[in-house]
Amino acid sequence: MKEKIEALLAKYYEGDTTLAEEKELKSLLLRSGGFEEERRFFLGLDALRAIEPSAKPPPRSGATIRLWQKVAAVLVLCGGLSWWFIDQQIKKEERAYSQVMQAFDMIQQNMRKGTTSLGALKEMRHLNKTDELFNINNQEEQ
Amino acid sequence: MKTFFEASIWPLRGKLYRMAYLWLKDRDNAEDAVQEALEKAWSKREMLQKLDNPTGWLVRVLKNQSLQKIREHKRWTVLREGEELSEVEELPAEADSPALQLVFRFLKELPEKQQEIFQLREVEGLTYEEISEYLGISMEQVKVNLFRARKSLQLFMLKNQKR
Repeated sequence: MKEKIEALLAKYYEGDTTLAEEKELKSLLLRSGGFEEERRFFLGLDALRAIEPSAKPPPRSGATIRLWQKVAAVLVLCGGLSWWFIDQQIKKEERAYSQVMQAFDMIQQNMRKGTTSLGALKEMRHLNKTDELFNINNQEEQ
Repeated sequence: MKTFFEASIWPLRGKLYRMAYLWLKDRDNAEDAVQEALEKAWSKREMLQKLDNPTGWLVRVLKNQSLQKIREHKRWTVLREGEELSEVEELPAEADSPALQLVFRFLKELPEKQQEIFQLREVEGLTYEEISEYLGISMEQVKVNLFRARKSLQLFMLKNQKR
């Protein structure tokens, strides 16, 4: 095994080994005695290989907003705003109408004030008509 | 069905993270740099899909993000034009296992390009072709740099054995 490792190491240092031979060399080094430094070094490479970043999911296209989605969102927003403005306008007109009607109602009520006390004045239409009331003229003719 | 990003870019996360960790020597910073690089890749995923070598593009972005982090971290140090990422001196705080310390001590002795190629081969187990794609360099450059890195490793081992 020692000869095999030495041969592979020599080839390795010359940069002539294939990936399969390098794998074999590492495996032999881990199993054999001697070659302490080389073994330690390859264990260090294994330790470096084992270092991983924290797990994260890849970003997805669904997470981003596409152009058509942006256009649709703007249209919905514009539609919503237009509807809101129109609705507000209608409500404003309704409020104004209701206020005018209340004002008319108030005027009407105020104009009615005092009219009952003037009811007696209705009788004044008879002031110049005593002859009609008592039918005086007719009686005189008779 | 997986998208291009999920199938070709996201699986590189572990390798990119270890590359950034090698440069930055700090897990949190490495994770941030990878996250930022992947966010850029996500925002340009349609363009990336048309590229011949999206991995090379991503590694370049990651390197830039890592350099930026080093500049932020060492704001008081004036970095010269073309300064290398490998010039980050300190060993990672968590490299307390003697085996990992040994690896980092060796890598620190290598020039940046050799560091990257050595890591991609020895840690990630990539072929020469894949490494040339990752780093956007020729296969010949990969072979030459790996040969030099391994020669340095041989000397490093000899030095360590003599101690």
